[in-house]
Amino acid sequence: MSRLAMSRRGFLGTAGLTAGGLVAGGAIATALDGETAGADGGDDVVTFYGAHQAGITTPTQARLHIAAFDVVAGATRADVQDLMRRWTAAAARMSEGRSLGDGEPAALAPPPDTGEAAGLPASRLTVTVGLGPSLFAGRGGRDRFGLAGSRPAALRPIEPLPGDELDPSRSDGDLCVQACADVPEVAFHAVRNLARIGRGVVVMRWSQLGFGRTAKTTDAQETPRNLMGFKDGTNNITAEEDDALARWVWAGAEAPPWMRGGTYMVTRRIRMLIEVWDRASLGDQEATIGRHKTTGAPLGRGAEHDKVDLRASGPGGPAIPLDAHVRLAAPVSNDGVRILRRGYSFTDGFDPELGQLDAGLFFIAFQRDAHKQFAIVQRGLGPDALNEYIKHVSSGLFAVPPGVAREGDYLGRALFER
Amino acid sequence: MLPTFVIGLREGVEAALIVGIIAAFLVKDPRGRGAMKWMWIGVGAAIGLCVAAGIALELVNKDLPQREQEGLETVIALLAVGAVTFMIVWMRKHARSIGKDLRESAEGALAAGTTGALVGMAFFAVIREGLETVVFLLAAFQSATNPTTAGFGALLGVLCAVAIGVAIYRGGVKLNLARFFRFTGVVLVFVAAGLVASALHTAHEAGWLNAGQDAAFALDWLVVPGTWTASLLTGMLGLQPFPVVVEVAGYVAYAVPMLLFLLLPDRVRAKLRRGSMQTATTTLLLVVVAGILLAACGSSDDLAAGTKRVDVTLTDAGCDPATLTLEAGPTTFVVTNAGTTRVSEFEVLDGSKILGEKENIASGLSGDFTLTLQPGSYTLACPGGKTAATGQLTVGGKAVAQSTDKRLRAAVAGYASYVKAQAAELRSRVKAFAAAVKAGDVAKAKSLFASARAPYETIEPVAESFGDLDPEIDARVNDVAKGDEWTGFHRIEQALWKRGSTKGMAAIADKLVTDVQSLHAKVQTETYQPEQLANGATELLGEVSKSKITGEEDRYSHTDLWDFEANVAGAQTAFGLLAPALRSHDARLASDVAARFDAVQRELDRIKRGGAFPSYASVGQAQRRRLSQLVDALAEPLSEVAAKLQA
Repeated sequence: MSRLAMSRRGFLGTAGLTAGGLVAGGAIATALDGETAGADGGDDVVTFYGAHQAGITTPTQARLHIAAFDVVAGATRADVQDLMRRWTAAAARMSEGRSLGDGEPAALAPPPDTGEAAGLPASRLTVTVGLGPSLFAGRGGRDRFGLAGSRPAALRPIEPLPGDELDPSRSDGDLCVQACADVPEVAFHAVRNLARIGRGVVVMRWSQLGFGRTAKTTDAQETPRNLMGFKDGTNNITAEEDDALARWVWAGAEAPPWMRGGTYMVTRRIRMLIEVWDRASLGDQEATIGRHKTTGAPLGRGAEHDKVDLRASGPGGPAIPLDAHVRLAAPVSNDGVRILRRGYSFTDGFDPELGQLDAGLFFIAFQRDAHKQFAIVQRGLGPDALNEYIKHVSSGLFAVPPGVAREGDYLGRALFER
Repeated sequence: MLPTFVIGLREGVEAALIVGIIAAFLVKDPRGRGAMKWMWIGVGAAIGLCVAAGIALELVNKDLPQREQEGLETVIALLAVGAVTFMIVWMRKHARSIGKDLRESAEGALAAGTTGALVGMAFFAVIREGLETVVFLLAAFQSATNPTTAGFGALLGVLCAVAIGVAIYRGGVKLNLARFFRFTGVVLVFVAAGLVASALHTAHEAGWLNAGQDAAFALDWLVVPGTWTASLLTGMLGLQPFPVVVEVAGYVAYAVPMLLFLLLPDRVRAKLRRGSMQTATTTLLLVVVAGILLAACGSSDDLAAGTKRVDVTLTDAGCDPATLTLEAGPTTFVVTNAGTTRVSEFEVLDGSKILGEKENIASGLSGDFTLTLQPGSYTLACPGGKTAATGQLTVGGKAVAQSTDKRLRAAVAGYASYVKAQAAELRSRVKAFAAAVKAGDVAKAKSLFASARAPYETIEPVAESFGDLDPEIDARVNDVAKGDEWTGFHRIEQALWKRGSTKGMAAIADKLVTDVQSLHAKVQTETYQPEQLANGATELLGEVSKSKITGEEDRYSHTDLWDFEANVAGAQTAFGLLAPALRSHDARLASDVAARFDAVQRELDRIKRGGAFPSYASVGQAQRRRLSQLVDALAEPLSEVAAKLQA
């Protein structure tokens, strides 16, 4: 049954994102935002196929598991190409809520699916695959797989930004897999099985679990709170904003043909100094962010979605302080630049050196050109008051190729079969 | 480079002229030919003696402790001022007749039949000019930004002088000596006035002079550190970005009379002399000094730190000005009656409530009153005025909390002096550190690094409130945006520990000195609120958690524990000042925080070896964690203090 249901959903999904009809868009948002998941994988399946990969404008799911991989020495271009084929097929299948492998598993062989998600619904799983700059040009610019000529200009590494405390072992990577789902086991299952499929061709470089969404990507979603207790992503680009998506998210004619309709993903592991933040006074916290903590309204205003008026004055100075996060991150402070954020709260337990919680925001953003969008905004955040309480400890940039239109096709085919 | 060039050129020309005239005599006189050789030996010996004297002075200076060094620099600068003043005055009088006078005494010597006297004249002429040059150059070097180009300038000046001397001797060039000496004299007056200011500055550093140390005005818009215009203005005119009152007074008091003396045409001078030139000059000098001292008193004694002064004049029309726009904060209104009999009173009203007033100011009198202005709109009243009996006062800026608790007022005042004292300490330690860096003494610079930073770390939240100053002084390499220049402590730290060299660091060291000077100037007028003290203390511990415990602050030198201790000391001072007031609000919190400060300090003391901290790289993970958790345990109750004080 799911086949039929899915193709219907697939049609709507594409229509909603490309044509942008209000009715279709609204219908999808309602259908996909339902937190209730049917056990048969009906309403909670996000189609894998489409002009763009899923997991970008898809209404943000509750959980994240993201991992980056490096292609091992000795692997060839054909190995990578074959991996993309197998990952595409497995991702499409898992997105439908189905296990890997057909027929009865043999008793003497390990089972083709690791099994922990068996019986769980699809849980709106999306798998989004990205390609890192190092896949195109290795150390010293070496062309490892004959892809150097196809590297988009926008896929050059991001230069160090003010305040970076990056740990190279937790940054970058040749390939990246973002799995998002409403159920944690399902997201984990997807990354685990893709890693398993890749064994021999890729090794895992880093991996991160995220336990709570900190952004909304549709108007219908409630704005979530990050670990600082503030509403995050009130003014994000949402799936309903077709013009903004076309302008700020999807790669266009400036990109090589294989990337058109794709996008660029930036990942930043932002460690929050939670203990220090927790003892900042409410007034300081609100002045740091530039919003009221309980309502999420801009300082001096009453409601969350009230316009952020940077020129408004409050008692004794601007209503929103000059170094407040919302002021510096606002598009008007950054040549109008916008990005689509899709980050998650994380904790990796305990920092043994400091004896403090190791937690924060795993920032993920999608944009047409990270150098002209994310990097501009981040550079503008140099004087951000928030920097007293956070540390960027990892960074990644990946080209996310366009989606695959139909079964049998695979992600990045236009790149490898050029 | 220009000032040393002028010095070299001018003194050189004087010496060359004398030597040239003597040489001409010796050549003409048959007995003198043999003495020619002796004259050159005399000149050479004189030059050698002068160079030796210069080197000796510099060596003595170098070996002195910081404070005595400043003292010696003061003396040298004053000697140089004396020498140059004498030279200018003497030349002003004798420029026209110098050739004639010399020829006469040379003829006299020859007539007496001794060439030895001529050789002696040459020797003493050179040694006199040479010693002047040395003292003057030393002083100029001490205030020069770049010793190499300064030295080059002096050498070039002397070479030019020699060339001019030779040309005059050969008779090929006719130089208008009066004009030459007058022009170079003007330049030298400015240089010497700069030396007066710098002598007053080093006298303060030496602890000899403590009056008039308030910033007179800020010139940092004109003298932008690190630019060529700044080196020109600082080098030529002795302009500093933040001159203090006494330096400005000294500068003006020297430069104005000297310039008048030098530039007034002889006719005018003669006329003045009849009306007693001396009296005029002395009076002028007294007036200038008195005026500046008065201004200094006005800004430092009459008004408490941070209080702004607003002048209002009462006229027939009413208040002048009738519209005022001010920043919130303590403000003193000085009301003067300019001669009206209609108006004798000035009031500031909030609605119908009088916030402050001064009555019975009759014609020619003045009076003042002080208010702490809060943001808002107020009315000015000058009852009886024709057209401006009422006016408008608009107050912007941040609301100022006024503490009614005497203990809190004392805490705030105590903190203000603590910050000033730390800033002054920082300025003097950074100066010594920068001197070691500029001298290329890597070992000494390394040994001074941690202690030079410590005063900064005690008052870091205050420094951070001045926007760009903190990044300029204390940015770490990863805080610097691409394309921006990395300056401050950590830039030098990297050079010292990673490269083991001070190459290219002279300019960075200079800028660091300027930046901490500017910090020092800015904290002079800063005022604080009780909750700022409390939150500043918590912020200091946040600094510890964020970058000291992780070892990210001093990643090359691993001197993080020094910064750690300074942060804690700054927090403890702020807390200690608040403690008396806090005890009456919440005695348990007060003793809890105090005990936890002690616990952190005990742990730090345990790590110390012979009074010094070991490299942070040698501190293990377990120890780091213990420190971190002790700081957390302290910071948590400390963060409650601000709210408790307001209750």
